[in-house]
Amino acid sequence: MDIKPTKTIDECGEVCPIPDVDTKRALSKMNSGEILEVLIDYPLSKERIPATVERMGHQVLLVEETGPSAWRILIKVK
Amino acid sequence: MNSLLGPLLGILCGSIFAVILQRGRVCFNSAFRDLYLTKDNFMFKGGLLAVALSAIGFTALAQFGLIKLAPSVPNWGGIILGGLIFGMGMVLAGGCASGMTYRIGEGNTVSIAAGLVFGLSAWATSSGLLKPLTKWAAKLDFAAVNADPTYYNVGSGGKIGPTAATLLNINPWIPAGVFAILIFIYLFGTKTTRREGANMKWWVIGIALTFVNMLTYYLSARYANRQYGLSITSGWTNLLQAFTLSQNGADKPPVVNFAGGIVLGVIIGAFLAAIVTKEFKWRVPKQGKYYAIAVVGGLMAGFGAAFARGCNIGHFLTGASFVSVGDTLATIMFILGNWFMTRILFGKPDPNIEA
Repeated sequence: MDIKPTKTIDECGEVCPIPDVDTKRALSKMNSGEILEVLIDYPLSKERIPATVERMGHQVLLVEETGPSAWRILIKVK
Repeated sequence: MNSLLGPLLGILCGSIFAVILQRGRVCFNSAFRDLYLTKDNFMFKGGLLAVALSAIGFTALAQFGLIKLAPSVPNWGGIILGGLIFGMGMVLAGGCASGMTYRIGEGNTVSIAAGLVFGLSAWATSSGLLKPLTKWAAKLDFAAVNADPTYYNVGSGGKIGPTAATLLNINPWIPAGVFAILIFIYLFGTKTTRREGANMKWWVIGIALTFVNMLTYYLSARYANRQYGLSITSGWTNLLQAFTLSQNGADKPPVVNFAGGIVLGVIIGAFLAAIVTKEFKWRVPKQGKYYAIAVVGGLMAGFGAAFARGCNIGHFLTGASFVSVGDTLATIMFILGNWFMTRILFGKPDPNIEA
């Protein structure tokens, strides 16, 4: 899937809840329809961030493994 | 104890515990925090199910004479002040006592700093610099009367903290059953937050934690003469003492005991689980300030846990299952401290989030 993110935040090295909180803060500053890319390497964040942002009404487009214990998440702002 | 059996069994129990923590992503810090911050009860329900099932399980083990229930003697000052400070510290440290410990095994360098400082701080509080304060606070101890020696660890002058059973002078099965039923009503009568990608469902986590909780209590009582289940704080103190004081010529140099074994086991088990699932990685935050924050968190959590005579594992996972006054109050203080620090660090919960 080739989607151009509007904004990227790199949360590698950070552990729960910092990636979650940074993601929420970034989303709150973005406009509807824009795409946020979140780079993480903490397994728990891979499960929690999609669950949390979906409950906030945003759409998770992709959770992709990019390396050993590393993922990128694409979120479309509602 | 000269035997190696105790510490080895501790390592075994700690390892099993860590595999559940690592695979289930169990974190009591986030379990408490998410109730407030994201209105997410998934992990909290997992922990609470373990407490409810352990309440029945422990009482059954005691009934069969396999263990003695040993709710710690609460100290009002320790429980309230220590509990609050521990609750605040775990948010800063990025994990409760068990969270910090198993993340060391996952390669988290911040947790290494937090864990070591946590252990040192707990040690200083229980038997070092702050011992006078701890001794002074012991005046506010509140021990149980009417404890039934069939169930409780009160032989040879031993003291325990009051439980619903000792206060009301009733059989421990009654409060254990009522407590479990009330928790079950909450667990199955309220909506559970969905977590699609989770490795383990919350009830699987709860059952798995109950298994290791009961196994640990039984093995500890049977083979190490230690009437308690999982705990982390005393293990950290024990490890630091055993590794630093063993050559000082004391009559009885400290050696690694069952509790110390649990901590070693948690680190080893989490490491193995992370290696097998390819989740091990040396994790270094981009901003160095997170080490400083974690050290402050470790200091606070260590002091709080030692002053309150237990962390969230000792007081919540094991202790609350005794339906005891002190452990339950400590758990409430942990949660309040956690919420307070969460509010300061991360702000108010998002109003747009659905429960």
